[in-house]
Amino acid sequence: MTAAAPLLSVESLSVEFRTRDGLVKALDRVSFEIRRGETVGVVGESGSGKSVTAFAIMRILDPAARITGGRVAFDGVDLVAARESELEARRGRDLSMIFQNPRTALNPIRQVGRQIGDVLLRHGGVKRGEVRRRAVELLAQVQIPDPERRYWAYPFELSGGMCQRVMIALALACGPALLVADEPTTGLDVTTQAAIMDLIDDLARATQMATLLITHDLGLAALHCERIVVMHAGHVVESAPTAELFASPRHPYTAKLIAATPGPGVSLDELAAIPGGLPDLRGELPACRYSRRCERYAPFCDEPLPLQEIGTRHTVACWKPL
Amino acid sequence: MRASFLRLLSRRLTAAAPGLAGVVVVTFCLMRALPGDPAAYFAGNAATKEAIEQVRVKLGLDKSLPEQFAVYVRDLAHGDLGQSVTTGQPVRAEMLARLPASLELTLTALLLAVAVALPAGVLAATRPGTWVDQAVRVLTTAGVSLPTFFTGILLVYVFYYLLGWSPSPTGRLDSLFPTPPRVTSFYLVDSLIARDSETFTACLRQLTLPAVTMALFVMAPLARMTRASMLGVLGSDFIRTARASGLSRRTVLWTYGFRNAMLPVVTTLGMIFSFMLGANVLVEKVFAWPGIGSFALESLLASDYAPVQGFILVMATLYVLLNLTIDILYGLIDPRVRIDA
Amino acid sequence: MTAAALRHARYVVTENPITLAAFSMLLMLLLVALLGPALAPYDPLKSDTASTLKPPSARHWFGTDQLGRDMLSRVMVATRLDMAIAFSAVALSFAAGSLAGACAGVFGGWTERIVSRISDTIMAFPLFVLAMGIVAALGNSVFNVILATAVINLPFYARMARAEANVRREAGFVEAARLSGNGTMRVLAVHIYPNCLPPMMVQASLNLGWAMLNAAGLAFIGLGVRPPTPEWGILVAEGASFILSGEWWIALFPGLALMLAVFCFNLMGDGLRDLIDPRRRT
Repeated sequence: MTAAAPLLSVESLSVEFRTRDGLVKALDRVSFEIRRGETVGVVGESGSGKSVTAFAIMRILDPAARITGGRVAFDGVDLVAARESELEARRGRDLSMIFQNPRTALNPIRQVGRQIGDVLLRHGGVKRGEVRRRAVELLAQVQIPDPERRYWAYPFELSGGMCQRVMIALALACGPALLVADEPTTGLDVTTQAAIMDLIDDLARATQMATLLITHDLGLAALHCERIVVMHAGHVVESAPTAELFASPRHPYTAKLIAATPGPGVSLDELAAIPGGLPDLRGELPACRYSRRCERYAPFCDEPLPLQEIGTRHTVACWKPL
Repeated sequence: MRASFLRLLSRRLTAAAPGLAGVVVVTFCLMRALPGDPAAYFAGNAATKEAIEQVRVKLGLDKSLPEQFAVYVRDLAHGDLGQSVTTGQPVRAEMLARLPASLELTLTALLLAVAVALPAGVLAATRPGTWVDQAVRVLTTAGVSLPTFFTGILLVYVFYYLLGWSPSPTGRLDSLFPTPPRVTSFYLVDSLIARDSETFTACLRQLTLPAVTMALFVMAPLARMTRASMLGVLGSDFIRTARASGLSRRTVLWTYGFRNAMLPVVTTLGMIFSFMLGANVLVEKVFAWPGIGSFALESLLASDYAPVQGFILVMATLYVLLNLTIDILYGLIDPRVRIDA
Repeated sequence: MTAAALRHARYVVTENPITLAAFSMLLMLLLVALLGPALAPYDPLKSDTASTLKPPSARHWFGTDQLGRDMLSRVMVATRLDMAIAFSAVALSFAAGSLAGACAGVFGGWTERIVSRISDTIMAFPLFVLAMGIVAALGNSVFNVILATAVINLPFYARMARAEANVRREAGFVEAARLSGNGTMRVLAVHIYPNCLPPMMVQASLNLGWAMLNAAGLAFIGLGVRPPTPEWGILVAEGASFILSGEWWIALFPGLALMLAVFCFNLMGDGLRDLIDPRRRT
């Protein structure tokens, strides 16, 4: 089966941070791809580089960060090499992002409707007179009740869930082909979490929009993603279609991650913590950044790691896969 | 929005009332604590004991303190600030005649300071770590250390004595020129209204050095605050969202960044006004500017205390009103204060 | 404890080169202040009618004034008075303000209301104008200048101390201590008050510069310290009238000395603030 050209192809992306205590190699040759309309999850512990990957794709990294290698091919354009003016044109129009902490991610002194209006005016090809109507439409689309009135609301007047809906409306205003969602439901209560994720799913399906879901919650990824990419300490260790990942994880870390994730039928006693902690990302690092925590470690694990294809769209980075 | 604004206004007005009350009380106490016997002074050197007593009764100084306070408040309610001994005029008239000079100076200085400090602060914040940033930081730290009266004198020395660019620092307008016909009492505005460009230029030249002196003093805290505030805002989450939405650099910087950054700056304006009203006195002395500050000083040195009291009252009232304006301005920018969530 | 405190102080000062430079400058000024008259080459009050209004020269580094007095000596001796006023005023307002604020924060109720009312009334005035009023009312003396400067700085410390004490009161310090049998006063003195101090130290060093400008400003307009006592503000005032005829040195050197001192205080304050609360780094 010939695969269509992927919408987003991250190829060997490496990112470094300049800090007071030295150079932090946050990402090392991260590679994965997303097809049109696909929902892909990126999972891993806190500090595994998931958010950095998202920010790198959108090219909104902190000034202290530098992309030291690789490319990000989006719709035929290399976002790493592109000029800022081109990036500015694409952001919000072709690829969008939603963030954690929706309340702080919105301008506190500007009405939410007008914030959506700003994006519409910039990219949406909407005439000035039409903007308000279109913004209200978008608010209705994300199921905000009484959107006419809520157009004039300020973020502090809305609940966390509603703010997240506003952010989704903002991100989807111009019908982007890719939505990057960085921990969109962390901090929301469970019911709202489910509602928000369902909303994203529905909207994505309706517009054939691809979604990149960043989350530390493996269970959430399992529910909503077609494929999952597992990251550890700046490396992609495994990526596979969801069912296959859970049925037969090939990387020791993935297996441990699954074993540590609560789910129905699993009692708390059966959950196992992953030993050790993330390595210090400054200074010298072994070829496999998981090796020092791995019970299957052998001397040849220190050889530079390949990313092996061991099934249909199932890759793993390990010398001794399970 | 109108309803919430009116609510804000009434809340702030009621909050300002105790402040004004405190000002009235404190000024009364200060003036009663003044050294010497005002009655003896008013009566004159050659006065007899009976004459002094008569003056004392006339001034109401024989009454008890609470009674004197009641009289004082009653007089204030009628706008009566007493009589100046040195000029023989009611203090209120003197104040009104001189207030425009002080206001013109202070407002011009404020406008100048804002016009320089705000862009400088924004510039430094958008180029962190560069020489622009370092320069602004050093200059502002130095600026905060400047004694106003000293900079005034230095400027006079350089621009009047050495370079001859500025006219002699002796007041608002060279005696060669007629004062423009009174409309607003602000010479700059009035000369423009009268379409008298020569007088306008002359007034401007006289105003330049004193305004620059005062502006220099407040430029520093303003630029500092703008820079710090801008830096803080530019690093916040909602700016990141704005960038991720592809909004233009100008929109991100001004509509999203600057407006939010102005909130702490507006709050700082309160402190700025406190400095400016105080610096007014010093600048007016150095440049012989005929405002209420120099009038108060002259009166003080001549032991004429009614104008000094009037001066403190006017300054403090002005300050309370300015703070009120700032609060309201803040409420206009930040909806979180207006709307009871 | 003193050894650790000294080590920390040394760390604070040497961490940033600018702070170090400011600190050294300050030490030099303190030295001049303490040794003042001993270091001065001439008697600052002695007039020499033979050499009036002489520009800076080898004999008189800072020149002479209209009475033939040596400017260098006058500036040096004035250091003592200005530093003394600044330190005394800040110490007084620090002590009184922080105590009042801490009590207000811990006890609440009427104590808090009174302290707030007094604070607010002081802050309702433009501060320099209030200082003018106080010195005018109480009379021209060094003590009254110190008092006036202390009064106008009181609200800053009261506010800070009250906020810090409030945080601790709400965190349950007072209740916990009471439950273990300690009286409220003891809790206040031993637990709450010392913890309010660090951020106020930063405020204090920044205030030193402001206090000095204040005192000099008052002297400049003829309030507080009176001639012939050498004080930087008075010296500038005396020199002001000569600027128009070109004798720049009488006003310049005292003014520069004043600027230098205030600049050093401000740099030190900034350095301290960066160290104690790096989040607020400007």
